[in-house]
Amino acid sequence: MAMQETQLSTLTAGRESALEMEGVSLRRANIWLDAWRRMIRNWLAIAGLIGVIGLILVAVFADQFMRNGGYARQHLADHGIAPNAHYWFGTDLIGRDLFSRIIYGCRIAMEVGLLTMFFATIIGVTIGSIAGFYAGQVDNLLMRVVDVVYSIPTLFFAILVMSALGRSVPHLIIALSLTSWPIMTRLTRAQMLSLREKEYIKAARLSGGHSWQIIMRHLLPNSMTPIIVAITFGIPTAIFTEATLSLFGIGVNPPIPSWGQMVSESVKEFRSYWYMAFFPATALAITMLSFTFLGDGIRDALDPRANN
Amino acid sequence: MLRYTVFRLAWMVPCLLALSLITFVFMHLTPGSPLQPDAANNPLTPAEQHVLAKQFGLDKPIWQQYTTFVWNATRLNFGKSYVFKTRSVTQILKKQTKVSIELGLVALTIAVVGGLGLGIMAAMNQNGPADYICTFLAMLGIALPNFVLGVFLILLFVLVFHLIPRTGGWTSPADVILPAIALGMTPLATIARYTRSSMVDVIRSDYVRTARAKGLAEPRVMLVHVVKNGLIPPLTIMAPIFAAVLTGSPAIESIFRIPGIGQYFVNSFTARDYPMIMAIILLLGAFIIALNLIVDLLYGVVDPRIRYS
Repeated sequence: MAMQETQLSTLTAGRESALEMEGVSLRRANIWLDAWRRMIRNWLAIAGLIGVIGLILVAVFADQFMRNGGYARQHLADHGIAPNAHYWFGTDLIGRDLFSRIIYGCRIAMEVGLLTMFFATIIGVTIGSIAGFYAGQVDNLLMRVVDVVYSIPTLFFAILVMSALGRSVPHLIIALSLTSWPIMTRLTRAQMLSLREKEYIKAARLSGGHSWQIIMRHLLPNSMTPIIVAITFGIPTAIFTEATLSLFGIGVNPPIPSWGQMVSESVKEFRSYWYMAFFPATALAITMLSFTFLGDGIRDALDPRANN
Repeated sequence: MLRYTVFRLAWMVPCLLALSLITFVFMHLTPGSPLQPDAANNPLTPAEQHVLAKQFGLDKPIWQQYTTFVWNATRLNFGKSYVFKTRSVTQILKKQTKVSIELGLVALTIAVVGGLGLGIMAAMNQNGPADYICTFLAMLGIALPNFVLGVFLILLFVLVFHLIPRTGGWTSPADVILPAIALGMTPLATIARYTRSSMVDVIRSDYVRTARAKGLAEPRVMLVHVVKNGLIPPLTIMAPIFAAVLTGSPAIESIFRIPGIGQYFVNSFTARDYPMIMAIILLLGAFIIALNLIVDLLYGVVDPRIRYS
């Protein structure tokens, strides 16, 4: 078997080099490379990608950007100062530097968005793979569990969980992960159910592949498209829900800054202190748009029908 | 189809039972209790607390409290609110749900009519003005959380232009407009985006070219061939959107001070008003399940290839 493969690859390699010598350039088909080529032609997707990379960099190096003593330091004499050369984005009503708070808020938003989707994807894809691969009774049982979680009103349930656990970033991630996995499960399962009838999966089974081997090597890689798209759209949704929870005062624990909380605390004073709501709202908007443009771009790029 | 519907309806019962159990467990895991026996400055004497606990059934073991709840809930009796002691939960919810449903329906109408209309117009006139409006609104709907949009709407229409006299309350039609727009904007944007992309796909398809080639009038091509088939993908996202409008209301209700179900939920939570919490979560859960069922059945109507067994 191994020898056959080597022979085959030398054979094709030889053929390719022969063709290349004749001046025929060969373009190897690789769906990820093709998708990448399609994506870099879409300027909105590239804007989204640059935005997302920028946000992640800001989140990772947030400590380096801290000014005027960091996000929690109160300069009580300088409260409610409009943006100036010293306080770039101004200060809030207890004199905290808004620039530092928005930079640190980026780390919180990224933590909540990325980690929530990370856990939701692991739970969702695992359960979805098992349900879709084994089908029948297993599928039936697991999907009934999904039905129950799907019927949970997300925001209300998050309020419930946050009150039970107390407010903190890890608890927020737990509360949001608990309600966001069923979407991933449904997607993965649907993909698996349609793929498991394909000839190459039957061939893999016939040649004696283990179940997990077939799932990991054949089924999952071929189900990635909708999963990746769902992840990119899930991240802003999680950040959005965090912002709404913070509106009710049950999001992150002070003095840790959250964009949603900063907006909701200062909207009442909007006419007097416009910058207190404006900068966090803008940061929120940039994040939402970056992830959405990137998600749109990935979806279009991975859809071979959009090849023209 | 009928068998499938009956099965799905019957399945609601175990679903709601499981939902009630999860809610019940988390609710009792929450630190603090309605009577706060450990609080330092509790105005109630231990004897009074004992009487109240007995009256509300809080002295019984947890499992018994749950079975009592389920038994009463089957007859739609959710008990009395701990906060509004003279009114039953059912009475309160009847009044408050009406407000939330009115708000939700207006918001949904704006979202569905506006979203479909805009999406169809954008697809029929690609890269024209309608297309740019569609893209702009979609970006606005994505970028702004509904409560931020709500605040901007209040500033603009109430404080700057004085078009609407005030906010707060739920008595005149003017109270409905701004919160409904704020709540409906994000769903409108989502529906418009989905509709546009699905219409564009359909317009490029072979059977539309055939329809045009055989000389059908353009409105007929659009209505019979494009719109009808292009509606299937937007339909798939309707259930989550309906749910989002429902659960998105607490933020809007709080900003616009509307006496709806979302406000009551947040308040009943701080008060550990157990009967209210249970009733609201179950009510919303039942709503979401019913919506999912309706959308699933609608697929079958729009796309005859889908058959239920």
